[in-house]
Amino acid sequence: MNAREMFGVSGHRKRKYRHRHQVLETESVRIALVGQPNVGKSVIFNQWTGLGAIVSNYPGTTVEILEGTVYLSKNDVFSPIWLPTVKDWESPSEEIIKLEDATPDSEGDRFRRRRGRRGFGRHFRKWKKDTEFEAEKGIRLDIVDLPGSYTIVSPTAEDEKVTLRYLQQNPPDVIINIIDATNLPRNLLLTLALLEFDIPLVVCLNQIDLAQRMGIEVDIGALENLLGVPVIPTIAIHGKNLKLLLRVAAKTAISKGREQHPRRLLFPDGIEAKLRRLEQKLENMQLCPLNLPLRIVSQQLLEEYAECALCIELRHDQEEAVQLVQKVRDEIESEFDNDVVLVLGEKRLDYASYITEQVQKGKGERVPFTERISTVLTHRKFGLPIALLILIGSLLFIFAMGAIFSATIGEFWEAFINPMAEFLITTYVPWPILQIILFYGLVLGIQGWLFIAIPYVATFYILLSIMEDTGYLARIAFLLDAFMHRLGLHGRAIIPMLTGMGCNVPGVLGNRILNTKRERWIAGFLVVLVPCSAQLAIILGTVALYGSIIFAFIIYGIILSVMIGLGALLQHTLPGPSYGLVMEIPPLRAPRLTQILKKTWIRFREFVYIALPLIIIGGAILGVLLEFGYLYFIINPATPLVVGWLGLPPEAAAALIYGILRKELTVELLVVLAGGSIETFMTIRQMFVFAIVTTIYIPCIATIAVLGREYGWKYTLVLAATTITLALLLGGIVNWLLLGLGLP
Amino acid sequence: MNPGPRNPAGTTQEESKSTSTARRYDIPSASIEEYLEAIFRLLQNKRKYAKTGELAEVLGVKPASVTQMVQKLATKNYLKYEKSRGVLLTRKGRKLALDVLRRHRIAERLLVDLLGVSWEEAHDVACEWEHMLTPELCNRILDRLDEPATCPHGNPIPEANGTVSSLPELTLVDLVQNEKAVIDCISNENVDLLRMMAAMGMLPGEIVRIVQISPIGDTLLIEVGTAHFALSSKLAKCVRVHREKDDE
Repeated sequence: MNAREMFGVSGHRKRKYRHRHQVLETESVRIALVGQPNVGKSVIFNQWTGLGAIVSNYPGTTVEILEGTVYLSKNDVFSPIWLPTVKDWESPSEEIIKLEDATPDSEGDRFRRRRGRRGFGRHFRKWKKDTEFEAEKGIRLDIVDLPGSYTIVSPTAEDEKVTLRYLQQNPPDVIINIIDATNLPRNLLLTLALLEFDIPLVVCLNQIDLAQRMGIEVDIGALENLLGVPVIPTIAIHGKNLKLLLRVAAKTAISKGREQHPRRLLFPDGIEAKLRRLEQKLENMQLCPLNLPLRIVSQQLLEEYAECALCIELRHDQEEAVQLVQKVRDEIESEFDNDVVLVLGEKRLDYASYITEQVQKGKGERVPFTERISTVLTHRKFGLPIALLILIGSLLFIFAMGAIFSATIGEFWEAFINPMAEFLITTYVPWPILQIILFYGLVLGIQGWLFIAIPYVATFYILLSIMEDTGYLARIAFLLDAFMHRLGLHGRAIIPMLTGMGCNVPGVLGNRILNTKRERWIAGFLVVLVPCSAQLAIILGTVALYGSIIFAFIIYGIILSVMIGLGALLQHTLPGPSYGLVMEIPPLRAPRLTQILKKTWIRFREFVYIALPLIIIGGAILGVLLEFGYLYFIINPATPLVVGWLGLPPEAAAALIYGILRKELTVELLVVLAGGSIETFMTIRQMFVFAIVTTIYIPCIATIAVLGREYGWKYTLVLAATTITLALLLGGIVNWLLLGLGLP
Repeated sequence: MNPGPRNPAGTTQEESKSTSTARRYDIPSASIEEYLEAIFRLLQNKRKYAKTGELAEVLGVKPASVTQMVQKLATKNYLKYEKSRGVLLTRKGRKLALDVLRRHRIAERLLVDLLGVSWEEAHDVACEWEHMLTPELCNRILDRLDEPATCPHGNPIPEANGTVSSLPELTLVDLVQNEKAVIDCISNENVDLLRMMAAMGMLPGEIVRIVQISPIGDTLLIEVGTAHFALSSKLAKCVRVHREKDDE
């Protein structure tokens, strides 16, 4: 296995694994993780599978699904690549005890809690004993991390639909439903829907430590009784009880959930009878969609879930059923005087609240300390200045990292690796054309990639992951929501924009989180205009270095106004309704190093897989063009435009064309062309114009490739044409303006 | 029929009267209306939940019979009853309560303006008359009295469609920071959005607190249960609420 070699698993461990594989693969179980956003689903997945996760798009969509495999034997969980940090509570966790002692409480309360704790331990031992079944054989567990979904009855967001479709089309052997102990009623809404499916279910009650800090105690046994399925309490970020959870899930899957007696929600007040009538009708007409319980189908029909498996069929020839659906909907709506969606939702929430009341002690207040920080971060007066400070601080940190990197490893690379590679290539490679290809593609390409990727992109992603994990990113979305509305977007779109500041490629990919096509179109344009770290390097390396840092801010101002103008224009021209922001703001959390590094790697991986090959190939092609002088065929026709209109030296055309491949290489090329300092080659005015044009004129080839894949080539072509026109127009105007101002 | 419920000035005789009116007008019976009106009045100047004890006090009946009646009303979906917190009206119950209030205030108008009854007496008599007024009768009285907007005490007469004119419909955007309100309804033509908000737990009857209002453009940060949500003002305008005032 490639990946294993990549992460340097020692020979000893490799042998151990081989042994395990042979013993273990006697049975295989497919587990799907389903949960609402922000419940710690991906934390659990990461804890189990580590870096071994495979990201793939769900067929026909852009929604990502993570898959990983772990092995389970008597006492251990193995991941082939990364040993997960999962541990069980051998006894009720000491940390829990510590937490309890720390909370000042009345004597009676403490007694109750201690009893609760003992009950907890008993519960734990029961499961531990029950799952000691795989003594002789091992099991292979394929785990799928489905996108976070608030509901799967009638989902709205693209990723929620994927969750539903996945369960329908590839029903797993067992579903692990991860619920957040701090917000039981809403999380149970999803659980109630999952109970309707004919798939064994295990509930994972996560974040019980946080719940405890918020003053919430959950009676696990009672919850188990009320739901009729196993409930395992966990603290995912510490890996607590995750092994037990896997074992229970595997056990449930192998027994096909026979010992389960899921308790399903019966709607009160006559709704149940109406649903039954609808179900009966569907059954009589033999309208049973694949693997979808009729109860869910009838609720979907009532809630007008457009993609419901039956809707299309119904509309054409099943007039009778359509009428019944309409009749039942009217009945419910007139009786309860509200939209049927709200009526059903209310009843479900009523039941979920009832369960919560039965099993939960304490109401739950958000932790006052973090809440106070959150108040400051989202404050009406201080919120925006703080956000600005944090953003500027992050950028400065990235520049510092870049400077340190190029001063140390960069120098070393230039001094030793490059000459050595050149020597090796010229000595051992016979044909000059191959030499050029190897030198430009591999040596210069990898060098350039390395110098952008590690200091700028990786650092940026670490910062972004921290912002995301702490919950600050969601707060920025809240702060800037109204501003984004002016661009025809809403707060959520700020996330791909910020990602785009690292590299436009993941920024474009990040636009998937937007709900409508219109939003994605606008966001595509804007993300591409966001100056990425390479474009930042150009700005800093030319006009800011030789002129003044003020020029850099002016350029940022110009680009921002271009984005605002373009956004406003697109908002008015593109058809379609514009929605607002509904987004959960998770509580602030302290970031955890391992989670952040794993997340950074998963993001950074895209940059390795997509950008690196393109850079190598593109570098080779350009090297050939440059070495054989073909480049001038392209430069010469462009001269009038570049020299006459933009006022740049003719060689700048070559740099601009090279920049399509990779933006920051334009600077390197300029240095080569100028034979040293750019100052001798370009004036401040020219540098200024050059910087503006390179930041806007066309997305780099990696971004173009991703754009084509995500949006289609027509869109990409329109976008490229627009940006080129815009860059030339703006560059020319700035040029003539500066000339008019008397700048040389 | 149902035990216990008595009017504030109640006698057993009146009880039988109210059951007979109930029969005449079919469901909802007068005692149901009495209860809903009392709950509505309690809620209007207080908070989301009315305690059964208070209700018993206002209606002048035993707490036990209140509990019994309230449970019965809950099964008919006029109200929600939680032992620990008390009673809260559903939309259906609120609508009926407003209707009763309308009849009550019209009856008061009739008594004071046409018959010259004093204000204080008018209230007690109106409590009984309200159950006998049909919508037609109401309209005739209103016609005769030149469409008065308020009752003699100066309170607005609710419209026939269940809205109160001088109490404009509140939406989330009308609230200030840290104010709490109860969601009544989410009016949005976009069923997708409705489903999304329902799935996130923003449903009628839930209490919303405004945590923050964004510096530009009034995006709201709201608290529902223990979860926080950011909500664009465009959407917040679709969430109709009524204020909930805390005791403190």
